[in-house]
Amino acid sequence: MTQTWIEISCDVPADFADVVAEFLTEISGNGVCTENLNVDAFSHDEIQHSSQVTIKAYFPSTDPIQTKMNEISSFLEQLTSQHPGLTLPPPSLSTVKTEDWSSSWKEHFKPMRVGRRLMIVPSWEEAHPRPDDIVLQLDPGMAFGTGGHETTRLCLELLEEIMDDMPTLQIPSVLDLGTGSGILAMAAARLGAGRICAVDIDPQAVEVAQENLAINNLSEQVQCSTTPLESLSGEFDIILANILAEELVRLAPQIMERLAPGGRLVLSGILSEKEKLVRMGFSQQPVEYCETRNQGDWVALLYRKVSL
Amino acid sequence: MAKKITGYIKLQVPAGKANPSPPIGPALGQHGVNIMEFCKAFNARTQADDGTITPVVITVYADRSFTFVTKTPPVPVLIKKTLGLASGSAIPNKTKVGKLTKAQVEEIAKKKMPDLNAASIEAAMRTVEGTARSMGVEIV
Repeated sequence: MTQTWIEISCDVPADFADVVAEFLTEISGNGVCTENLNVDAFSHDEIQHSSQVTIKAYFPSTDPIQTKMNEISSFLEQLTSQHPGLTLPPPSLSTVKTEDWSSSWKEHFKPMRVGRRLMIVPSWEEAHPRPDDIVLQLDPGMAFGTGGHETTRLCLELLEEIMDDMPTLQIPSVLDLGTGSGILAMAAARLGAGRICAVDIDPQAVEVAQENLAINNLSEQVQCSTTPLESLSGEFDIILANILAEELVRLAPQIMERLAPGGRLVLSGILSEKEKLVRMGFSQQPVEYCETRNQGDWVALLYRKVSL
Repeated sequence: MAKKITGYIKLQVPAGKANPSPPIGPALGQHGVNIMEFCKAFNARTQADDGTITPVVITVYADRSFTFVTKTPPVPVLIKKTLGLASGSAIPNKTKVGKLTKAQVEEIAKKKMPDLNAASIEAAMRTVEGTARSMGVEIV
């Protein structure tokens, strides 16, 4: 039988969060949630924290809930009597909708089709590919690039088209800059690229990417590391950079050094309103602009390096 | 990768013992992230501190991928550890459960300094002292 849980929440000023959290942790025995925000930001600095927080503790419904509530209420009263001026609302109680949390998150991840032939399939789902489909097995985890975001999908679409347009005899080399989960490098390998280099400044992302490459039997084909862009050597026929607008502009000269003459450059991670900034940033570089591709609020830009 | 942040979750859970039941399940489930992957990684990273209540901040990105960082134990946990207490006082203004010296306050403040929004060690010490009093611990 699935366990039913009771949630008890306490609204407190942020300064008292630790003390209340500690008390609730002690009487619940399984920890507390002290903040849970839906945000829209690009860095932690942009996240606005409230001066008031809601601490949530959970108890099996078989616990003596009323006794727990009384204990919490009396603790909060003690706290207010100790700190003149502090007022705390009484704790509130609700029943948690019971679900199997170990697997309910999987509902958000279904096999995805991107572009003409690419399919991204989580390990627990069965793929039903068409004969010429390319299947990448990928579970969401601790690195960006599950295939669910517009910036990733734009890159995948453009990569597939570039690869399909290549003369049959040309086996292009690919650099995936900011690889995250490794999804773009894996797609490049399956689409027939030759030398593939995937880098990310985040060691954790590289670890995740290496696991994903191993699951897809692509470890031999893709060199994955935290090597900084300036330390890479050689030139690449295709560079995929799904980072953020400002970073792309900052890295423009170094990206150009690694792009072979005639090579294609896909820039992604650009909000529509930042397109101009990136195009300006690359206007002084030896590339010709080919196209802008949109999805939702995001754009990806395709460039070709001029042959000198 | 273009990492847009869509969720920010703070939990305090026992080190090395994360599992999909509350508070982790409902908190992370709301954002649709891979809960089993979080539990596996959190337990692997915190195994050495088995059972110690550990604050953890989870950042969720637009494609439901995530990262997390663990913080030093909360001030009340450090106070209890320093004094060897099992729990704080149920009636902190009447029943005192222990005494903390200024030196011990400073030691805890130093340990916690990276995670506190304190401008100076003195400000961090005042936070520690305030927390101690709320737990029925006197400062001597």
